[in-house]
Amino acid sequence: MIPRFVIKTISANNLTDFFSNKYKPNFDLPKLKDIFDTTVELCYDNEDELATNVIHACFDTEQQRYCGFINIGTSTIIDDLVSLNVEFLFLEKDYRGKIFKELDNIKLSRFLLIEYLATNLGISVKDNFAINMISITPINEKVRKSYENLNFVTIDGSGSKKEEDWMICYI
Amino acid sequence: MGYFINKDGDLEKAKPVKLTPEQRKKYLRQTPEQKEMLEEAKKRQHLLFAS
Repeated sequence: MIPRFVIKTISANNLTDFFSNKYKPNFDLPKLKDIFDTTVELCYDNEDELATNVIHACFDTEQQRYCGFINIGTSTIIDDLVSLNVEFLFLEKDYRGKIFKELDNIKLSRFLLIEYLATNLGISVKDNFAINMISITPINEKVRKSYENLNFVTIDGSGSKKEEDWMICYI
Repeated sequence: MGYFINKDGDLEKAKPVKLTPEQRKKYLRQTPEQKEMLEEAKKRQHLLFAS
């Protein structure tokens, strides 16, 4: 049986083709395109040797379309500790806030962050490299609330302003 | 994300942070809720793969 949602990693060599010909995200909210343009650069083999980011794209096998992606890398931005860092998470509008029976009645955002990143990838990374933290900065306070519902914890006072405070989840 | 929208509505990159000893002690650990959630998530791993 084919899962409803399949997650595919997109190599740096295929990124331009992927976002030009296979999946054109519909950035419907202000600033999303700006964030995408900035963060996707981290996924190319470019001059920034610190960049470890990869795009993990989510394909809806029922609708035969891509419905979102996560840009994941490693970071030492929090106190020089290595974490798996969510640089950018995007879901198409019609997939947000919706519960899917094919996902055991959870939202796709949770599935990508917890079932896929924290558990599927995270446990493997933790077991092999002793990296046991996922870090994220929510784009706004509404998104912060949704991450809190996924048990991400805000490190109060970690940003120079409240909206900059980092969030973490231990795996 | 490493970016957030500040009070002026501008996109801003989050800066590196040094934690205080108190913050390290308070935050750098797994909470019981995180542990429980990850245990639940382990039971859904079959949803990622073809069977």
